[in-house]
Amino acid sequence: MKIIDFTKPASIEETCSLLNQLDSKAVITAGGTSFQFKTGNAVKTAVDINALNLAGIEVREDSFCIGALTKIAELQNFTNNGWVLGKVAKKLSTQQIRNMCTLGGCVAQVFPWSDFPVVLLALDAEINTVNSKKSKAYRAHDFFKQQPAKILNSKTLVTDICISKVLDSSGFGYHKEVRTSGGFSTLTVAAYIKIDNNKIADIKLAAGGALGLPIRLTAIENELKGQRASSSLFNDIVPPHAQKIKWQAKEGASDEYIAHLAKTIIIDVLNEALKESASEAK
Amino acid sequence: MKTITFSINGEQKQFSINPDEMLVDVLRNNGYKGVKWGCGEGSCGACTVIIDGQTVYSCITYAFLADEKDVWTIEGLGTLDAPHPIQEALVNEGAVQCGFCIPGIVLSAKALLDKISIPDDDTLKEYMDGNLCRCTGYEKIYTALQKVVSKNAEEV
Repeated sequence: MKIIDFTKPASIEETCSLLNQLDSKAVITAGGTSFQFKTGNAVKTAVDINALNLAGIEVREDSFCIGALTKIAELQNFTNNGWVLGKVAKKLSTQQIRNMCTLGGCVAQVFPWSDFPVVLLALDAEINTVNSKKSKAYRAHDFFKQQPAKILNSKTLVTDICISKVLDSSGFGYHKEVRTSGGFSTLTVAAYIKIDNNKIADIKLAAGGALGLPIRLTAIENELKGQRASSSLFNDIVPPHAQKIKWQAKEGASDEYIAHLAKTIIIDVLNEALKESASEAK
Repeated sequence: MKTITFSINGEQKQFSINPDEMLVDVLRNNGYKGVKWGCGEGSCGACTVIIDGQTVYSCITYAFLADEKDVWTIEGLGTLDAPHPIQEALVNEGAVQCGFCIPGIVLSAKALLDKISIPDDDTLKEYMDGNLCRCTGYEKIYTALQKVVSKNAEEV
């Protein structure tokens, strides 16, 4: 990709109008870190959206609404009751990248190593978008069913991402398997669990990394829902299902190795979420 | 070519840039050679600069993204006669060998200590995780930085 011009609109309206006008010649730019993975000779005008008022974390009664321009470093340093993205942010690449990358950028394009789409699936996030015609909200499981670029095309902006607070009898578990510190994910797993009367009232489990696009592991969710939560239950239910998933080999990891790794990591992440659901401090 | 303006080491300047140019190239072509061209893919940290108080890899930062920002390179921190305390600590500890990574390391440490003057060891490692050094094995670098942190703690 070659950038032949750049422009910095001051409002969402101006941005949408520019995107319409430039059509496929536009490339939306915020942190800019994904550009190094854009191959080919396409000639583009960068639409720098950093002047838009889309950064920051709004704390609502039961949820957090995170502006698309919020940097990963801000997610890393933010603290609040029910906030779980700090531990995810810390594991994303290096500090310089966390200072550059935006959450919007992490969801607008999914790479095989993307961390946040997996987490947003487990947290059942709402992803809000806007274009010149309308605003539209997507649940994470609809948004990540395909490469988000198909939804966003070149004319639609992600404005914010909302997630529920992980409170009371609920817990969140997360693991990102990397070969080197700061490296790309070999396998990422995230789980949200809500416990009611010692039973699993709600569960959302997602994986990514060794898959084309991140997915919810609904077969495991369905088997666990309503059951009395325990490590031994996870040990019984997870392995046969994890074995059936078509894990993709990655550099330095065969599909067979990843299948074995996945079984262990999914159980660990479920245990972490369960432990957290019993803890006061999130 | 297009013109952008940003503050570099406290001085407002105009730069003529190609829209496709990376910040590392613009800085080096304008004399800021302390910004090193290392991996060119945002991994090694030799090209680290501070923009609005945050470290970034200038090799993967389009120069136009620096427009109207506050940019700091190693040239803005201390001199041979009056080194910055981080530079002084690294020299005293013998933490510098070939020196190629050091401008980035100093800037990463500065950005952290400007924000958190007494970070714990985990935070220190977290904020320094984007700077590779292939000579020292990091121990002396961390010892030097821990000494700066201890000094900060004494001054509180």
